[in-house]
Amino acid sequence: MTLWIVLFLSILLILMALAAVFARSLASAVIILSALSLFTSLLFIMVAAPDVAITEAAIGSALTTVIFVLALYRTRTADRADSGSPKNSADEGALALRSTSEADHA
Amino acid sequence: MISVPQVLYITSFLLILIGLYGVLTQRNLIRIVIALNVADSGINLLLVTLGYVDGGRVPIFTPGVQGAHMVDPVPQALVLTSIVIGFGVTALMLTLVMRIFAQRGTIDASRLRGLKW
Amino acid sequence: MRKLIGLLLLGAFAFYLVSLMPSVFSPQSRDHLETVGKPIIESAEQVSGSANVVTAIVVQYRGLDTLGEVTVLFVSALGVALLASSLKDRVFRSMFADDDGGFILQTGGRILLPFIVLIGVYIVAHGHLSPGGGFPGGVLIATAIFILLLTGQVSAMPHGLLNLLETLAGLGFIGLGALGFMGDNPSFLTNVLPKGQFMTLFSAGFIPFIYAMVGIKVASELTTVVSSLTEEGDAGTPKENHR
Repeated sequence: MTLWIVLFLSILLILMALAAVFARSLASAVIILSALSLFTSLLFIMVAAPDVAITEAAIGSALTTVIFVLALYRTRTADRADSGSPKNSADEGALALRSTSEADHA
Repeated sequence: MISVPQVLYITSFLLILIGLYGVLTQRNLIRIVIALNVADSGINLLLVTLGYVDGGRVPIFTPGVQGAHMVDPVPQALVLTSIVIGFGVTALMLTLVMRIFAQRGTIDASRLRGLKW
Repeated sequence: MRKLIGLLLLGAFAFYLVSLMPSVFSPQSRDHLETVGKPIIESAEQVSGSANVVTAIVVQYRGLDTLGEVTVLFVSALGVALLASSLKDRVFRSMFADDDGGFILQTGGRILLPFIVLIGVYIVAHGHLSPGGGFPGGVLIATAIFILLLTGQVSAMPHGLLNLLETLAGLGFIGLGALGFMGDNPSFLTNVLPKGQFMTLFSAGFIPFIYAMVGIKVASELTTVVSSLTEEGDAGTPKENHR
């Protein structure tokens, strides 16, 4: 039973790692990285390491994502002519994150 | 049949290899940092799997449970340290990326040829 | 071309990794512990008095490594604060200029904040009884403080207070370690406080106190890291420094 769960989580983990490294847009790569660390935390629970699981979930899913989003915000190229100026902060945040994807497509 | 530590070893090797491939071939600096984080997760998984024992319990003494058939607690203690330090390194790397962008205006590694002479 | 070289290097490294661990190919997992784990598990109750063996290893058996880790975190927080001192543009003020993130962010943040702080303090305080300890607890407290920044309730972090907390926590760690010089086996980071009764809150000697110091230090350091990246620096524009 443990074997099937571990097998399923491992395959999911490898697919997410491929998606995080080869993603099209930078913002989705960051979010997939956050999900990757969450599933790694689940895998740590399956091998009976709850200390490590709590630490990985707290640091990988929460703080690393925060730092990455801040880095994305501060390295955006914000001179894009779009369909209209953003109306509220949600639009502006989405515009900022979206503009990094097309400007730094690598 | 295949066993649990075998699956986990192969997974962690694949994670490390995918992360290293990302570091070697990506051009965007933030993507390099993301790939390094993927490799970090792989290494931590490898270390924790080294301590796996068949049918082992969580290494915490609970009241009412006799017999200590636990997994190895030493790799878990080392991985605890490794995860926190991995975050510190990521934060420092991303701050450097922000500084590079503020000074050069680009984070494309093929355009940052500062050492060209 | 670069991808081809990358793949070749990866192939060589994969070969090296697999040759390093031949147990990848044998589907047998061991069912008993051997050299290092066994004596530690057997002596954890008596030597350290803590029910969580991983905590006993991190604080007592390998206490010096934890001191090193705290130092590495300090150096990285220092580096981030130094490098980020020339960044412009307060992030949250410009993001939330005309709208503050809506109902969900504001209300959810305010409701969740005390619970996250409570869970963080609980995880730090019960590090020797249940999984957790100083490191994830400190991270949770830093996340809770970050929610304060995110919902706009606080515009800037009091850096003087954070520095003071961090300094006092670091000194507390070393002071508790220096307590180990009293007692019959004097050396740094020896557990000399009374061990109490096994599996209760007030047990395991100095382990809960050291983890509390570590938790405070980690929380204040991570808050410094995150807040120095979201605030405007005060070092002027980078171009002025070019001579």
